[in-house]
Amino acid sequence: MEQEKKNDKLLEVRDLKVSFFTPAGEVKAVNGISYDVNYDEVMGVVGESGSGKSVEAYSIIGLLQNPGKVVGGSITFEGQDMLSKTKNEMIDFRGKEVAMIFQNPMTCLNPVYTIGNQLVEALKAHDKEISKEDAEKHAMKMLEEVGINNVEKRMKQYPHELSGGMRQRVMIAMGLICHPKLLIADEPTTALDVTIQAQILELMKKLQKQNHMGIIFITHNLGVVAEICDKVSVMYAGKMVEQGPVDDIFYNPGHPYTKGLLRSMPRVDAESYERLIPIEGSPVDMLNPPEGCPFAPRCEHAMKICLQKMPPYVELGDNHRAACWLRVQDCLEEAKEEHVLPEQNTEKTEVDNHE
Amino acid sequence: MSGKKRFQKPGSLQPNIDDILEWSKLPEDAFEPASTQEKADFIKDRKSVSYWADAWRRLRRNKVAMVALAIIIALVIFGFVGPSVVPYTYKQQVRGSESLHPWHYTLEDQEKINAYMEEHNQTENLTPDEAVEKAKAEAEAEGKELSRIEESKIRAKASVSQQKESDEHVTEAEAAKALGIKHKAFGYSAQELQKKADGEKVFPHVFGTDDQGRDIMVRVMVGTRISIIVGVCAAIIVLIIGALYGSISGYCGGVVDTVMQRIVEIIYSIPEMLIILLLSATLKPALEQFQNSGNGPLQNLVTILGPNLISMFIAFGLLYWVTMSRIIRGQILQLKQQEYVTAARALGAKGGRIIGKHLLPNCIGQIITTTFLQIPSAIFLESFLSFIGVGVSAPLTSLGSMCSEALSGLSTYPYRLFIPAGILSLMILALNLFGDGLRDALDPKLKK
Amino acid sequence: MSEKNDVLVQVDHLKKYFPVKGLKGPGVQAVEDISIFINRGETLGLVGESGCGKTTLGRTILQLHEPTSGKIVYDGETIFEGEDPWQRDAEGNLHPVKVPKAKKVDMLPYRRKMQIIFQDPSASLDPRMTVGEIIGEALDIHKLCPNKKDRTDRIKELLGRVGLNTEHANRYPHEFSGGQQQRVGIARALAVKPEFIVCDEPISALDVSIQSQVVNMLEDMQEEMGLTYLFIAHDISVVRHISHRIGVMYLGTMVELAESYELNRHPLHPYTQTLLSAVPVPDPEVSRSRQRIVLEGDIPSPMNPPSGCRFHTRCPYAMDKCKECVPKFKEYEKGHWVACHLLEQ
Repeated sequence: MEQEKKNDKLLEVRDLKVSFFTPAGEVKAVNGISYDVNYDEVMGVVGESGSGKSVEAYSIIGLLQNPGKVVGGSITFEGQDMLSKTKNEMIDFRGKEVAMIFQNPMTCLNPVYTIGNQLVEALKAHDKEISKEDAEKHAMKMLEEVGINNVEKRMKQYPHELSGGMRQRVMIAMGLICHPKLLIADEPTTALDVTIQAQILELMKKLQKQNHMGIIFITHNLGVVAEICDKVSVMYAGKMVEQGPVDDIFYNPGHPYTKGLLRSMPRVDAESYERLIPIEGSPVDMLNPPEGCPFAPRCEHAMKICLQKMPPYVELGDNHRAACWLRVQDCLEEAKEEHVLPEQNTEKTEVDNHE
Repeated sequence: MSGKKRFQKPGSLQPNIDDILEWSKLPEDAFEPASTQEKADFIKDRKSVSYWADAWRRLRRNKVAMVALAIIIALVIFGFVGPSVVPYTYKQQVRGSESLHPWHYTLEDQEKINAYMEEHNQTENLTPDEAVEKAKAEAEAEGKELSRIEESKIRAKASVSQQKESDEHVTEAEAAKALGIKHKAFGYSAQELQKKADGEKVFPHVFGTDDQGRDIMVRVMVGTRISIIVGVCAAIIVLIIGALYGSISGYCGGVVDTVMQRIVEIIYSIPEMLIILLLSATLKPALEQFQNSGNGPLQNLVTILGPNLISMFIAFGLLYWVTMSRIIRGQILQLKQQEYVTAARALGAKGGRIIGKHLLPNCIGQIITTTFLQIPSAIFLESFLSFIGVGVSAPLTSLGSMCSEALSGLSTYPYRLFIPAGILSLMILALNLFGDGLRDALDPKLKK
Repeated sequence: MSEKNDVLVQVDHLKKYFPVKGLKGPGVQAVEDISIFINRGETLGLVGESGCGKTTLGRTILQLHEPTSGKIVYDGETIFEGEDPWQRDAEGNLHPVKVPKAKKVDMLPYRRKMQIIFQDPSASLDPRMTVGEIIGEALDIHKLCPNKKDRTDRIKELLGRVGLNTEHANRYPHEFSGGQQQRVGIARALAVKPEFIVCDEPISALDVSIQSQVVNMLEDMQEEMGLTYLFIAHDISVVRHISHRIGVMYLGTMVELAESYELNRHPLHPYTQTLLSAVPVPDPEVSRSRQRIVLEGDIPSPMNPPSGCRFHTRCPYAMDKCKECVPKFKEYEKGHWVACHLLEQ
């Protein structure tokens, strides 16, 4: 059974489209993305605000709120179609198979219940038979595992009595308490101090190895991605512009946006002063997504075709692909060099011969 | 750049070779760099929506509020434009048109009714003896003798009909019903109907007239106008005093705020109605002296308003602003923490500038809503005072005083109470509903 | 012609406590005995985690908070001087003492020279004023452009300087993106032609791809106009990039101050070492190979700071002395200041 499972993918997302139907119009938050997450793998989803990275995570776990709706594509978890599940089935699913942890633990933990209470509730939601003592024991064990000391005391405390880092640990404990197979972490360390962030990242790495979980780690911080992720998907304006193993993304980026991000980030270990090279322009307005590549207005290499048509994916290596007309251009040139294509193309319909 | 591109890849998400063939079909200039102009045109600017346009859009979608707004506008037109349409003034007493109902019978129908009524009400005035006498006289005239049986029958009938006098007294309405005559709309007196028949244009008394011949509709219109004016003025007084007090108290904070709020609490505990009554009683002689002192515009104003209304306005100025000040203070306390206030301080702005340019404009939604919702309270208060007799002074009328005048003739002329009361209720309801809708529309928390 | 000092801002033993309602005692000890100086034309960076007091320090220097005690000297002129109203007794508890009234000056002329850029542009711009009015307010308060035409021209000039469309002066802040709003905030600070700007987390609220635009713009402005910055941020990578010198703060105290590359090469304070090793680097190889110092425990609350060296509760090298004695902030190498008992040996 285990072997069969290893060959199945944990999560398959194909051409997912999510839109928000606001009074101002349809906001195409996610405009057709596809990716896979395997068992025992951490996938980073990198993007800025408005890129749709959180929205797509919410649609996996079925927490998309009105006016958001999934308008296309498929989400398959261990072979099961997630989009066709009923509400009740999703409720069972959440917490047990797929869990989510959020950015701001203060708003996600109920301020009027104790920590112990909330952990026990999480357990009881999925195992109605469990006794109170067993649930509490399990909860305390979980708290220890996430590195909280004085668990007996902590069980009786309220969220506001804990520090930010501890609250995040509690949220991780709540998420993992039913041993889900997939964990979605939506910017879990963004609100934390740097030293606490380091602690939490270490904790997550440890738990991931221990439980062989798949993790979708959403963040805008490329440093964190380099720390914890095995593979990366870069999102821009609702589209996945580049995907690949973490080394490829950082050392061999194929998309101008990825390159631009890497060039514009200062590094703490830089030896001397290097002026940052920013990405010009502003993020795109999702209310009126234009035809063609959404990054084109900000891209220094933009070509005419970029403004007209959405670029297709080009394979750049092992599971590494980017959606960019520049890469298409490279492909064509290489094809010409290797004589895969005929020299003269008589099928061109729109070209004018300027010679 | 190192190309690790391969052309045959099993299991990849897109097969390569077909794509390459397709891509090569693209036109030559597809790969030329795009100019900055082309890039700029690419971006479609989202139309910007200002705060007010956004609020109006939200308000428009609220059907209840829109209906209420329509009613308010209708009432305003009714109160302000109406009296110009109706040729009667509110104090004009039309001779011969007293106590008209809001309906009438045509002249011909009236005659038929009168005849019917006379017919059926004949025997009523006769006692049994008189009836017998009358019958005897009739019999004699015909040359017959009244038999004893007939005499006793007549006697019995007369006595019975005497007892049932009031029950069988045929009213106009019953006569009309019996005749199958329907009454027509609007009230006209007989003279007016005559004038109409003669070809003159006579404006109908839509709601009838009171017992002094004053047209009720125009009085209702004027009453509505008074109510609206009083409501708006009172709301403005409350706004100015309350906003000033609340913003200073909230901005200063500390000891100043504490002291000011204690004063507010004392004011809250004062019974307002009592103050109004006391004030009007105390001010009456002083105001009368003032009225008699000359004939300038101020004296005229005082005369028109009357001491009661003036003391009501004074009471508003002294007491009713506290709710507004508390609301404004709450808003100011919250807004004080905003970073743009700190930014203004960092620029060197002083308190007055911060309150006037930053704090108050940012709670304008609350201010508008609260002020607006003061209007129905003020209208209700004025109507109540007029109802109990300490409101507007005659001959000026108000919806409340019309209600109280109508109480005496309630059974005969019920509409004299229901019409002003109905208009009053409608006005207050519409204002409250619209005010609620306004609050929802202007509330920034609901803004997405 | 008076000789201008090289030092623009001098801070001596600055303290800022925030009293808590209903509690006796000093309250939140946000800034504890900071003594630093900022040279004309340089950028001094301040880093630290929550509760370290860096934002409070920046705002206190600008007198947006009134200091509890200490001395602030701007361009040779003392703008604040006050004695410490809290004394420490034998057990280390603080109790209040009576001190003479602090010496303050009217800040209005100084507000022209010392300005601030805020973190959240959507919060620091009044949503009810147009962008032109927001910038114009700065001019109006200091009566800089009494002529209406001059005023309009200056506003347009400032908008252009920060890279915004000059025709957009009539738009409201919400009609701009986050990065553009921040530029408006910068234009507002520049309107009065300041010498010294406190940059209070100016890029934290912006998208990653926009941050570098603003950083470059700040650098260009510094070169063009000879500005002096106090750059406060929690993102150490950015601070290290833009600053000439960096001060590391922990729980209200300054633990280390050095030139930025020097700080990275030879961090002397244990906290600085931990901090630098915790910063994620966008480089998988480096991430995998580096040695991380992960601290146990959480940051204590500034209401109840530990005695002696405030870092001793989490310090891997803590000694007995660290618990009892506050270490002195001394210059151990040229331009490199540290407050740590370890170095005193």
